[in-house]
Amino acid sequence: MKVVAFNGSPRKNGNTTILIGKVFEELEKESIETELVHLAGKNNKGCIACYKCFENKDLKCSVKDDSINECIEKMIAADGIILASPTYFSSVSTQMKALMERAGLVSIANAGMLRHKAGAALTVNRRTGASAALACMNNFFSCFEMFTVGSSYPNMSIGREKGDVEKDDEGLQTMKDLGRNMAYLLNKLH
Amino acid sequence: MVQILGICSSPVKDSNTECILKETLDSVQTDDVHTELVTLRGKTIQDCIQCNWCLLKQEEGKYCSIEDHMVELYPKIIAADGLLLATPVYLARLSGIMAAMLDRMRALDYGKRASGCLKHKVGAGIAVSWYRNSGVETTLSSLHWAFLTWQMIIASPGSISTFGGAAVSSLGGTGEFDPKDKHQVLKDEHGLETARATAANMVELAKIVKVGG
Repeated sequence: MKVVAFNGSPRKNGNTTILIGKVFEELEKESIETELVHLAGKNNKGCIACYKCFENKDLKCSVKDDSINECIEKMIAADGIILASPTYFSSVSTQMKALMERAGLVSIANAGMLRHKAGAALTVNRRTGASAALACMNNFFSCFEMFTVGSSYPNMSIGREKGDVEKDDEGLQTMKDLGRNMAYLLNKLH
Repeated sequence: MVQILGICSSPVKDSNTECILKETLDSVQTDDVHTELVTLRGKTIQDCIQCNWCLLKQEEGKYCSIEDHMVELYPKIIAADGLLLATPVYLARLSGIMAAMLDRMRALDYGKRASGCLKHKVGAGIAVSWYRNSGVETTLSSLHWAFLTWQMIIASPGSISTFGGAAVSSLGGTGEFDPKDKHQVLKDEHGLETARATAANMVELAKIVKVGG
């Protein structure tokens, strides 16, 4: 079994990565393979609504000059998908949004592409807006008949400077529980 | 055998919400799927008073200090593998009694004895609004927040309706209605389909959780 996590933070080694690591620890305890994909630096663009994916139905985005198709391939190959983004102005980062828009439309064009995979989202905010960002990613899973797992509390943590989330015990516990719940579902699904 | 508990929170007798919930539960009822419909209409469910009795003093079989309709409901919820909650849309949110029920379910999440018993159940919602654009999504989303916070797993119908079953109770969601036919929700074919698809995925997941894939 495999879980792929997409890190929407422009920082490769920031708080979002730390939180993904906490979820991964729990998955790995259950012998679930993990892969972390950084969206930072890839310069992925948003969807241009050309709808070529509906004509081609080849599980690919027709815009091929960035890393989105690579991400889509990883999503298809995985049993579970984690979307992780810092909270920017009560929403996800641009990097995460580009992935959601384009993998999302390709998934609708190719019905069933992500069906019944496990989905988990997490976010980190300095003070506010995490709920909206988290809902944004959880709602993505609901668009594709994926099964969305939660945690012992909404999957968010507090931090601004790199490493701040390490001081948020409650947030770290939430990530652990999120990882455990995802492992639970994956073990049931497979 | 999986147990799906459908709970309707419309205060109206023979309501559109109850009607779509019944249709939906019937659509998944088979020899190995047992469904039950409970209506909150006419029942008393008081607000949670945050007395913390459930955290500190909860007893076997007695989940909350307040004795009202929840006494009957708690064991049904505990026994269910899937909770399908159906509510009318009021001001882009749940009906009051559904909100009260959710608040009181705190006793099953934090309770001294029942803590965690909602964990890994399957959750899904159906919302019925009068007008087409009057807040179905925020209503269903508020259910999703509750499910996820209780460590439940959400089933959804996919891109035909992101958040779950979503239907209208006036003709085409325009506010027009036929006084001779109260159950306009049954004319909302797409709405019915979103609810059936939600329930079908709920049953599939509930079976997987119960017996493994």
